[in-house]
Amino acid sequence: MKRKRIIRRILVYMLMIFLAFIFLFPLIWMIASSMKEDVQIFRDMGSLQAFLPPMPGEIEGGYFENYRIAFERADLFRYIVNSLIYTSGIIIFGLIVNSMAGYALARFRIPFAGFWLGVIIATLIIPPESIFLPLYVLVFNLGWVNTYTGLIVPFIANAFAIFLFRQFFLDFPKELEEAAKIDGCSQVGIFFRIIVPLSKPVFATVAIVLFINHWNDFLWPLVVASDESIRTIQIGLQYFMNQEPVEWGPMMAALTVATIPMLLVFVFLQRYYVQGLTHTGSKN
Amino acid sequence: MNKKWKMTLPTLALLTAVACGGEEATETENGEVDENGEETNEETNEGTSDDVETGEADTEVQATGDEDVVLDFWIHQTGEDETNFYIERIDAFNDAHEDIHVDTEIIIDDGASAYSDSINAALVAGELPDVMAIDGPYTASFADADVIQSIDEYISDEDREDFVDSIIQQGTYDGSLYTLGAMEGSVSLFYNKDIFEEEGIDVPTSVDEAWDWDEFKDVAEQLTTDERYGLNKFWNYGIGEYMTFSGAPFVWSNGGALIAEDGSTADGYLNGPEAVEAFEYIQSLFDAGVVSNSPGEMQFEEGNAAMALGGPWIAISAEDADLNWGMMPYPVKDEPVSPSGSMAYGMTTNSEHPEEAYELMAWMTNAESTEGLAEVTGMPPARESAFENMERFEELPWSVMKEQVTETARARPATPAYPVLTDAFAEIYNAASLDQDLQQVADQQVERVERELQRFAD
Amino acid sequence: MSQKKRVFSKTKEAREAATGYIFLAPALILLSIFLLYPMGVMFYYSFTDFYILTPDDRSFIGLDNFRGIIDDAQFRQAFWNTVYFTVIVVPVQMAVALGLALLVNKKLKGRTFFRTAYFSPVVMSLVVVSILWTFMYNPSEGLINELLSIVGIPEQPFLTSPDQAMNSIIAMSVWQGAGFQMMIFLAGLQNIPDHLYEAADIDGASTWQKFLHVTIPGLRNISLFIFITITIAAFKLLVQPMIMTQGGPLGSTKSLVYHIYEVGFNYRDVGYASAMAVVFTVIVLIVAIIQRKLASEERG
Repeated sequence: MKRKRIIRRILVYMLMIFLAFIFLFPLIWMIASSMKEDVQIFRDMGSLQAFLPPMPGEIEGGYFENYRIAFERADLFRYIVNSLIYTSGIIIFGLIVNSMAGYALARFRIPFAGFWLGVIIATLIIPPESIFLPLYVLVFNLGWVNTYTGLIVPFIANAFAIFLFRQFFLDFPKELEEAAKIDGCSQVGIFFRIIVPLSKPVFATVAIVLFINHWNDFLWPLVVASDESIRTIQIGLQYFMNQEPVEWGPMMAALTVATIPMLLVFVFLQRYYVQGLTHTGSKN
Repeated sequence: MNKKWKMTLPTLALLTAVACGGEEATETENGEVDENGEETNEETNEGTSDDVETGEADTEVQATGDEDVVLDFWIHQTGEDETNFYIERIDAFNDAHEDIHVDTEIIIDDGASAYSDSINAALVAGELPDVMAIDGPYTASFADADVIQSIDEYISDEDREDFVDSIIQQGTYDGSLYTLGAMEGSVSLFYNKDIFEEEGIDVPTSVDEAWDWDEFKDVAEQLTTDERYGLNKFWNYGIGEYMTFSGAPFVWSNGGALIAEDGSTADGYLNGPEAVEAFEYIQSLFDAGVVSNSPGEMQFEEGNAAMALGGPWIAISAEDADLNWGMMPYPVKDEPVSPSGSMAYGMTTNSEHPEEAYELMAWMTNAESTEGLAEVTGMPPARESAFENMERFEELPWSVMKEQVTETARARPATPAYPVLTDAFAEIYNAASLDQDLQQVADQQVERVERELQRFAD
Repeated sequence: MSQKKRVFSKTKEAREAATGYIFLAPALILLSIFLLYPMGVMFYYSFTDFYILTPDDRSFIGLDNFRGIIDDAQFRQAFWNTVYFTVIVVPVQMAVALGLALLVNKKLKGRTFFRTAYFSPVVMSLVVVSILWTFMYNPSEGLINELLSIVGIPEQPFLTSPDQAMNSIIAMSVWQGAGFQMMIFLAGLQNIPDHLYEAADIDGASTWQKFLHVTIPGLRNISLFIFITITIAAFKLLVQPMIMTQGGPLGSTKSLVYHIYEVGFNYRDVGYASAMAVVFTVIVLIVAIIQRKLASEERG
């Protein structure tokens, strides 16, 4: 009986290790290749060497030669800063605007609440790509082309975020609010002083959802932020790939650099994120 | 009550800041807006980076404010040397013209559709510059829509004479000349001299001696071994404009066309027997295994392909790789033709100063610009006189390219449906590597072109 | 007394409604300006022959654009490509995500590592992943063929074959996205109260029975949530084919959104592109309604 369990456990581990390989090998290959010269990338591809960094001294320019080339070829640093400004702008304003809307829909007895909720959910299915042209004309007329404003403002209000906030606030114990009301707190006060501080998980979840969505944004920044000074990293990478002949090493370095910010966000926010999901996911 | 306001004020302030974001920004000269009201681009072309930044170009000659005419000029983002050369020429223009000042904007070009997206956006917003760079074969689209204007009344006869025929052909729509380019493009057959010497194969040295299709295929087969391909056709450049640019001469040389002379239909042309035969010829190269549909980035340079049918940039990378290379003319069937075309300039109907705008166009394509650009980029010049002045083109291997540009180059068809036509061509051409019934693929693609042509029928 | 109270509560209600609208207003205003208004404009464009090169010369052409869609082979192909992608990606990605969640939910040593490993593709953006996999799928010098050749599998064309290209994109998409849903499933699994499993143990249920009768029902809501979000996201497929295949070969990876983008921006036919966008929106709407219907029926 016990032996059977041990064997089963070993099998489970083998499966998990195999899956870990499947999920990790492109990432490892990318990082390992980012330190190699093109010739070596191709030479190593048929063996496990592909996933190992080069031996010390094996490469002339040192481990970070490709990074140096990548940064020299394109202003990756600026692209990343731009992406961060863009995404954090959307996140900061998005958290405020959407949490307020979510709270209103969850807690206030307002006329047409159901109607508005319906409208907001309906906007979820509109593919943003299909309205880019009219949206561009609008943003142009506002004089926002090639500005952070033009990048950020159209995407602050987010139906999905409103929905997540609403679900979370619906579950919030009413007693707390009642108690606060008796203490003379207004509803606005209740929201900002009681609800918000107690809702970190949902704020973290929404922040991460917004971050993932907009860090990846492609078409909108491409059209609206054509100017180098506010170009985002995803567009910058595309330019990299289309320069023939493609040099694999610097390309891998650029891809690695573009991944780092997202990685950091997850390392620091993952715990909140899981908590938030536990809340929002369970109630639908 | 008090408490309430204390808490909401910052929020309200933030909200109004968002809602009024546009007001905080200040307009710069070109109507572009920057959050801080600062110049959008203070570091253009600084340092030694390979990259060219987009945005307002930092030209040396500043407007003094005395100029009567300010021209907006858009160029696309490209290699650093090339763009620096443009900026140099624009500076020189500003110096030479006290009454005109050119404001240059470098527009992002990612090799995909970014540049045309920017033009689209500006079109919709009614904000086109006076002069802009356009990819040559798109002349017809812009001309047909009256976005750019004819320059017939401005260009002098001797100037017109000096441009190579293919550049005039590329810039002409409906009998009028619209665009001019300083640069030509061409594709020729590069070969690995060491391999050829080993195999004892003689090569043609002028367009009159160009290999015909059978000879070309025979040699490619002879040179194909287990370790290397006979030919690299740069299939890794993707299914796009490059395929039409580099592949259309196969159809033309076989007596075919992509579209009717009057541009009314592609049916019977792009899917006509001559065209399909040409596509099938390409297919036979794949079937014979002499060319790969996924060549490595440096297949030719590393000696893994004995020949490469590509543009002048091959010479640069081959040189870098210390390859002993040579150049032969593009293979022909009946009629000797070769690829042509590159970026060109057009002046918009928006321009309030057509004369000055033409002056800028003429300047950017004059003898000095043409020659200098060919020097900097390694591409062939667009003027006969430039060829005369450049020693490089007097002897082999470059004399081959000169002959092609001046004698056999043919521009891609001038039709407002070109964006669809070129996609259709590329799909069929690419299908040659996919074991498909090419007649069927061509018929399907023609259907798509016909739909598009209907839009321009009236 | 009661009279007074009612008056009081009425003004209170009005005040609450007013405050509620103040809370709601920023989001509603922004959504109206930047989503609903452009949407209306798109709807209007769909009845015109708006061509970007002649923006001022635009006339009303009734239903012509919509009629055009009916016999547009390109649209049909893009539609079926999108349906194919969605129909495969949704169940596969959900199954993979659930499987992974079950694995890392076991109280095994090192599960944090495995959880992080399975999640890691999510932190690479779709653009990064698409570029990376384009290199990995390269037939002659790509990593995957090199790895396959170790196991003795011949060189595969992947993205250059019309038969394999879409499946290659699907495999990559599942790989990239599954970790995200795994996290949500995991949260759901941890929310199932232990006493349900304990009760099942007392009844002598096998692992499989527990899975069927405790786990699956416990994940109902969460599965529905994941199902709907993946479906809608799958319908919007764009970045992968745009970067990896430009919709080819032979249009085999052209998605609806990509086709709309191409017609609108590259061919500049905004009127027609808008009509397709309207049709696309209606399709997504119908799918969403059907999903909701099915969900509520199952519940009732």
